[in-house]
Amino acid sequence: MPGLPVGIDLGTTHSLLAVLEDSGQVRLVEGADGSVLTPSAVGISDEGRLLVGMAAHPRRLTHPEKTQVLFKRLMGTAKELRLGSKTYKAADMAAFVLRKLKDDFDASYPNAEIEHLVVSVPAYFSSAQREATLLAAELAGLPRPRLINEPTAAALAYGLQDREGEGTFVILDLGGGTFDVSIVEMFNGVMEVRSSAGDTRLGGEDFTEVIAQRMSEHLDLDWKSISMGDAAPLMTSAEALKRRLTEAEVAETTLPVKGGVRFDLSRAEFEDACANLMIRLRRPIDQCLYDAGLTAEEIDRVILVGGATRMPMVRALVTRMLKRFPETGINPDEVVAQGAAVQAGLVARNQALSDLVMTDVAPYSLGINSRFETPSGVVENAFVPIIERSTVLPASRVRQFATVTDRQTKIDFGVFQGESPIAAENARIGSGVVKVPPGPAGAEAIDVRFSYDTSGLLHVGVTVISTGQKTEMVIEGSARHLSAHEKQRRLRELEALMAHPRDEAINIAVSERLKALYAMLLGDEREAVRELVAYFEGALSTQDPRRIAAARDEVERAAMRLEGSFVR
Amino acid sequence: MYASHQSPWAVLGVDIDSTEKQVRQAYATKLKQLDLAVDGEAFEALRFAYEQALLVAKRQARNSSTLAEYRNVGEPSAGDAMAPLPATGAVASHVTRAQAVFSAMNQLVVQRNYSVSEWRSVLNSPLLDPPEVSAYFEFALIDALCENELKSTYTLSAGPDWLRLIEDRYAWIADGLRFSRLFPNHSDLRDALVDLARPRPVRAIEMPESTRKWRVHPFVILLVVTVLGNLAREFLAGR
Repeated sequence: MPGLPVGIDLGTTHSLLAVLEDSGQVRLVEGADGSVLTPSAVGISDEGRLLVGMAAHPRRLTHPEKTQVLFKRLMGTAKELRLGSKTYKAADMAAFVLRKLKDDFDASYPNAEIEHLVVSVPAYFSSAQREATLLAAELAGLPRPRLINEPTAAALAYGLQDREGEGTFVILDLGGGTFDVSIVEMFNGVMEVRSSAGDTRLGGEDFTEVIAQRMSEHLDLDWKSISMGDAAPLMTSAEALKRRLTEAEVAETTLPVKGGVRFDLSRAEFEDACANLMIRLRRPIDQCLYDAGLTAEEIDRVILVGGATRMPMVRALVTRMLKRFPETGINPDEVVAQGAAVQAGLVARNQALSDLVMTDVAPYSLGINSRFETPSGVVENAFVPIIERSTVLPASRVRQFATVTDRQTKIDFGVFQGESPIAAENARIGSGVVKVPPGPAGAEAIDVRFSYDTSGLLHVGVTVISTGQKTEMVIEGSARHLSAHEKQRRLRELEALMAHPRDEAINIAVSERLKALYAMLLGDEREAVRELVAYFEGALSTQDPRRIAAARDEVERAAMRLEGSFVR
Repeated sequence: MYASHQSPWAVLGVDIDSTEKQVRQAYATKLKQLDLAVDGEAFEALRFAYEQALLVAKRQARNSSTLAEYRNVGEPSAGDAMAPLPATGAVASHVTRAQAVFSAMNQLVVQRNYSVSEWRSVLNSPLLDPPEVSAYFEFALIDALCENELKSTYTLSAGPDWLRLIEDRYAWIADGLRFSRLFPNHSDLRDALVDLARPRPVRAIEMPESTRKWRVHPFVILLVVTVLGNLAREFLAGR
């Protein structure tokens, strides 16, 4: 079977899979429902079967306790996510979504397999978050992927489009849950990331929540203590309102509570309420320019990526700060997946891409803890960076450290990543111990060499100066690898859960969408949905695939019209 | 540091007086011959040569005054980090236009007014949008805080909400390495901010009048229980 290079954008709100075909063209793979976007949603049906994507997404409204969304924000944490009676980690949820994407790939390319896989992550993802992403791919039965930073992927997609292009561009990626800024310089087919900065907890969902919070105030509810069941319809209405305010100055909706409560919001009020979020958008942009040593005048192009950059206030801020009108040439929802596929082609040393090279930077500083003497006193446990943020990768840097007490026989150190001068305030990603010959304080010293390779692995080499003794270690974060046996078991569990045939999954998606609509609408519109449900159930009971498909088309058109009536 | 016996220009295979464009071209050609996943050392030698040669080429071609000006505002040398440098040229005109925001900020600090909504509107002012003005503003803010607050008391009288807002904008605590690089003489301010971020001891919180009225001292409860207990015992003994 021929192996194809594949890129996956595992997003906060939706995910995509793209294939680099032999022609050098990137193709986005469609799901059974004909859409290239798979909502990053996982749920469990009333019969205890797993629902992923479109089938699960509407159920966040009707069955919030059996549906999980936005789990990307919890990647790399130990937080337990509940699906009915079972609990999972965020990486398991991501694995379910990845598995669904793989099934779509297998259906589109029955005679091929995924050979080189690249999965995108926010540039600012920590080592633990990256490890969780690798684990998810392993759990989904995919080959071990290379990771690419999302803004870098976007730059690659643009670079592929315009290979002769030259200049410096800023890429701003405001997705559902994360914000990344990267500055990329392009010349002679080299795409060089100069710096990247970001906020892993700032995205479109936060803007939606600002609206939902105002709605809850309007209803005299306390947003902080609101139940999942009450919050879900407000978030859905808020999302629709937010989208509407991209074009309209004022939008109104009827909230599906207490028999229908009218709520309206102007764009000015919305922007006012988002003041805190706008302040948070400014910092990474400033920092990225500073790290690259560039002024706004030296920027040639500003490129927007991620659905949330459609908001006028985001565009206005970017235009004012960077003094350029931003562009969105490639669909902002699809560009990251396309770029990830290009990177997979680069990894595979695809002939069509032989004139393109990409270099990336370390998104955060890496170093060890040490005792530090300053004019005002001794700082215990200071963080000493060895590879500084924005260093071009691969990179290898060395620093010398001496013993601090008399007759010291070993040097103990922790490996940290972060930007705080206090080691304990950064993330600890490993540790090491080396033996040294006893002697007076400061007489013995070690060389600590950090090598950071292109796949995000850190190698630490320690040399004792006096004896020349070398110690090598690889820091891969705390996440362990699965044993072959455990991997088999987890894969079997997952396959048992995902037993739906693909066409059945689309029908579930349509039924669930109707049920969610029913929950959102009131009065005559609600009655109309009830009729649609009855009509579709009738078609399903005939078990005639042609009739079901025709009914599905009709019902989906009607549903889309009704969804359009959420906001005015 | 990178044990290359060749000059940067020899590594790149260009003349010593090459232009920026020629240096880039040579780097691109050499880079495409490497596999970054395995040729780490060769890449570092190439990268080092490229950066050196580029620096020389740029220095020769430098005529941009705005660049030098920004460097002055954004990256002061360790010695003169205390006082913001007098801005000149384009930056000066931007800063003059933003004067109102600078004075508003100064006034808030002088009055020790840390109202989050007022600070939010200052920080979100479109006059601070140009990154060079905002870099200048950051200096001015630190200066104002040190002059008016820190100098006399070594602490800040601001609250945690104000700190969160400042942290969202500048990440002085979270990105402490940048802070100490930019403002090497202001570790005292960072200490004060870290102090502010610590949870306050409970006794420092003033009880609102209405709740205080209903608070019962544990000793009173103990007394009432003892008295009632004694009464009960006497009552039972009396029976």
